[in-house]
Amino acid sequence: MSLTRRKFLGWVGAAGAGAVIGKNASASTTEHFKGYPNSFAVLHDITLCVGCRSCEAACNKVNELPPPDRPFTDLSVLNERRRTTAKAYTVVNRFQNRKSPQHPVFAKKQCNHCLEPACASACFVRAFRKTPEGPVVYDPSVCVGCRYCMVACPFGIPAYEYDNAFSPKVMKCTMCYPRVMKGQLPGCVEACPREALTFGKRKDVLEIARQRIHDNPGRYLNHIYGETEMGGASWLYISGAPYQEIGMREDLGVTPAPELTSGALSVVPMVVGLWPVLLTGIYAITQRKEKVAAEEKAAAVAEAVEKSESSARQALSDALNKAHKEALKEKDAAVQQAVKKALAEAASSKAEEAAH
Amino acid sequence: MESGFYTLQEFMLFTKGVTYIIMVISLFAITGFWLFLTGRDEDPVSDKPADAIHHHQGGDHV
Amino acid sequence: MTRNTSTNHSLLTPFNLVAGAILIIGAGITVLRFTRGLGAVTHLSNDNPWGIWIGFDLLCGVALAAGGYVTSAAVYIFGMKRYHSAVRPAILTGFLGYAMVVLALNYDVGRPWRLPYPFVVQQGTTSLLFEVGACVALYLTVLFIEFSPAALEWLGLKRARNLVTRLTMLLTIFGVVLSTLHQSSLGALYLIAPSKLHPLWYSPYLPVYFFVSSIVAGLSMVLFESTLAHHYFGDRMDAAHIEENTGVTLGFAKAASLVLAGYFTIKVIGLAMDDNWRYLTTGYGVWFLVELLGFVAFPCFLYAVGVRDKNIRLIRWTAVLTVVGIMLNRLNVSLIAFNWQLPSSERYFPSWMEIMISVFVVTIGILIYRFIVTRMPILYEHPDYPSSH
Repeated sequence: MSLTRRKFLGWVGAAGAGAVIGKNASASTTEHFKGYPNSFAVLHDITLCVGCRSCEAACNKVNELPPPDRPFTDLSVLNERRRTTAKAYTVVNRFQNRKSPQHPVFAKKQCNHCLEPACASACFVRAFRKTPEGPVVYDPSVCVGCRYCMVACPFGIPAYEYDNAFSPKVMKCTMCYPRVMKGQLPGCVEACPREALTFGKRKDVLEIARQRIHDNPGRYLNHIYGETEMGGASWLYISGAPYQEIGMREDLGVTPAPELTSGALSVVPMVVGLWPVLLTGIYAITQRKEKVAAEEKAAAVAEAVEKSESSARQALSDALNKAHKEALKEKDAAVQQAVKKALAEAASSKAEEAAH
Repeated sequence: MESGFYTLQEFMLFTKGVTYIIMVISLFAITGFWLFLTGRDEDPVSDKPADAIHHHQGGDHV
Repeated sequence: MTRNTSTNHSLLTPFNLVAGAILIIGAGITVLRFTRGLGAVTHLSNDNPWGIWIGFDLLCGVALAAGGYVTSAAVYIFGMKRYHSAVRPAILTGFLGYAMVVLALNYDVGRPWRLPYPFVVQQGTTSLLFEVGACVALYLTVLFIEFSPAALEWLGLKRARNLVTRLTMLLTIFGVVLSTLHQSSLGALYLIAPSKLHPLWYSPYLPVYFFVSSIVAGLSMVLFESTLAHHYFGDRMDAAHIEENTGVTLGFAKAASLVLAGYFTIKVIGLAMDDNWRYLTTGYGVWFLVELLGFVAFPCFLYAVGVRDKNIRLIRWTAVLTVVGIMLNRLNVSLIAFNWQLPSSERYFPSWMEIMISVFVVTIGILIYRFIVTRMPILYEHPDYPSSH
């Protein structure tokens, strides 16, 4: 509890600065991308759908998909929950209505044509592309078949031709891109007998959705699904039943898919730029340490050699001195002896002389 | 939009593409620069590789 | 080279018989896979596009092949020359590991002959898979060059061999850069699917987790492989290799223990950053704790005890436990905690043929390893090139 006010404020300041720096570093830009201004969108008014499967039939026809296992007029398929497959770009599901159980809710499912598509962000050959007109389109001529798009899609839409050995493709709704380019309506929109589907410019369609919610507050929830989910989509929904009860996830958040990976992607060039510098630096330091160690070792050896040499020299000179001294001593002794001898000889000769 | 990009995805495709090119260039450049930087060093005592780098290309840059 | 190898004994050893059976079955499934499509051999579905060929072969394979960059970095960059004899075996297993990963990828992707497309036709630079692909391809090349001196010594190509060894430093640094990138990017692959991966495993730190745990995986695999190599190829080792082995074991165990401690810390920090504590009391939470405590904290402690007591046996068993833990982590992220919100009827479980192909690929790797180790100077120094690689 010794935390002082100043220290605390310091921490807060540091955290704030960190957050700001972090934000600038991770967000690729301060620019806010609003999407193509004149792109198209479809509004699905779930309260109007009666589950007739006309849209499914039309989709199958205009996209020349294989005939279904059971005919489109067979409504018993609604008894099970279905998802999009390689043979069906769109499916209608039936859900129980909590408010009035005798009136089930029907919801159509297909690619939502995100404004910032996760599939396009994930694709490593750029097989997916968000067109300025709105549809997210797929180019099978470059697809490798890694299926990362299917991992990435938060709505679980792309399907794969697992049974095709030689040219398997990812299959998903194209929002009838070829038809839209020719000025026609998407197949499902054209076929819907209840006008549960409305095609138009996204900004206009969004306006229609808002108007309906405003005019019928009891009928709709005040939430346009697809307006902000995962950064927004070109397929919008309004409903009376909570979305999570009709198979639409409400926990996806509003972060566009590319932003989820931009942080990790932005670290990549930093690693490439700095790792070689760091590693070469460590290498150079290691080398230098080794060099210094080697030099120190060499110096130590030299010193040791010197020491032993000098002591040897000392020993030698000691020995020499000793020998010299001894030699001198011997010399002295010899001299003295010689002198004694000489004196004795002299004395004896004197004595001899005296005797004669 | 000043930059001409309407989606973040488009913008990132462009910027990451440029970054990848810079990354490749930088890897070559840093190798060359290291050789330039150490080109006049005395031969370090011990290690072979460093040694090798010197003999290898050092002369080109000095 | 004059050592007499398997020529002495009969080829009909139990190991060879089992391996042969696996190769035959694997070849059969291979034919089925490439003539009838993925659907004929796998349990992959539209909801579960990635199975064990990604979860095991790619994610585990790459993590466990990290020994190459970890060891060569330790020896050549950090100057731990004592561990020199560990470099070649680690590089070899790294190279074979990556080669097997690429082989397995050919089974998994729909049109494998298009694998170069992301680099030569159209670049999806916003994809982390692009980054992974580029790095794996480059790193496989680097590992091949790093491994080549052994093969060149075996073939007696002295000049080519000396030329390659001059590049050691450059290749090592390049290898570490590439490994950092793709090891982390494998984790980052899952960043785009926060709605599918359980919050306990999903974290903005996923790339960091994958990178740090790959270091642990690399160190532990070197320990594990050296145990196996001692057991089966002890006669191929020279005195230096056997002498240095105790030092290598203790050093690597110490490093692994330390890195595991760091890994444990950042995993806990990840929990705090996303406020995921409340999930710990759920079933997935218990499973998460099994992974974190049983396969991260526990081996961290065991390694430490092994180092303090100089208990080589304990260290070797801990290496096995750690490797299992890393595999568990990769499978959790890619399969077990992925699509956790789907009803169990729509969850993925591999078919026997998928498992068989994974076994087939691993078997091929082991056979090539055996072929190389019994012929080339991997576990011993070539007499003509003493202490110079």
